[in-house]
Amino acid sequence: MKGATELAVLASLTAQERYGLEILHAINACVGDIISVGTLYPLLNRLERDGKVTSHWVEEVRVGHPRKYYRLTEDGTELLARMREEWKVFSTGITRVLQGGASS
Amino acid sequence: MEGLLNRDHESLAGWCLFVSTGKEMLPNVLNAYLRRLRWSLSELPSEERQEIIEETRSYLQDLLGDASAVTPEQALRELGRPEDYAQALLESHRISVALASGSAVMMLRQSAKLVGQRVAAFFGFLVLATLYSLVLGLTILAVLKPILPESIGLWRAHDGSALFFGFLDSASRPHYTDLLGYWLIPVCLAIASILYLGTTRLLRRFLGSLRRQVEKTPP
Repeated sequence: MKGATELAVLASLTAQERYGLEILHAINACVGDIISVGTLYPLLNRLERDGKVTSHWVEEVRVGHPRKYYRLTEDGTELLARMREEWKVFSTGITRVLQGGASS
Repeated sequence: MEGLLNRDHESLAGWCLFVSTGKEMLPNVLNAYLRRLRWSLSELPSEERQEIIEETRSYLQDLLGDASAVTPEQALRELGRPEDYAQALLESHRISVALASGSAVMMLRQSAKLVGQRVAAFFGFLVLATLYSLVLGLTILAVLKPILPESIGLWRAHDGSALFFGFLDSASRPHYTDLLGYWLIPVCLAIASILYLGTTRLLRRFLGSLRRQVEKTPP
């Protein structure tokens, strides 16, 4: 479900800024392997180009190498809110269909 | 670079440490991967390309750090071939550039590429479907021969004006020769089998390339 991937990535940045691998773990911890590395970074790239997220490098001396952190922009927050609504409608609809099927 | 030296929470020593170990922390196979990736991304402006390489390096360093059980080979398998990984990034970039340029020519070219893939896929499918109908047709002929021996055959007109596998009505029958007789059955089945095997192999490659196209499509 391709639209869901974008929703998941944006949602993972709601509470805090995160770097790529963190986003990957956060999502896959909840949903199993729905997103691969080869999909995530191009997606983040596109989201940044579209102005939905912004990034900055942090030199993390403890870890020994820098990391690129992402966070939502205003645009991104708006988009996320819209996608959340759409998802709610969608999943309610699907649930209704499933219940209808079970009761026939 | 002065900003780095001004940071309060980092000592100069610490900064020097990460600079000197950054590139050496990766085994050769990973540095080789990054070089291939850089080469595949040569179309991108150098700043953007550098960002991507640095982020990929950072990702790999994270994967292989601390208590990691991941081998370099496993990490690379996750990323896929550098050329494929670069493709996803490049296509996205090209479309953005075309859109930003406002140039009708650039946008048409990108659209043509994307549509062209689909048109090519459509025609590829038509060809495969046609080949399979041939297989079916030949098999049907082989099956019908024992049932309608006088109407089914490899027919040649006496005056050489026609040559075909198929059904002939009784009115036209006198003007044609049945070239194969009952040999039509093994001949048709043999051609159908070879055609079937060849077409199925083509179909497998076709479907494989379709899947690659589908996976590259942005959400």
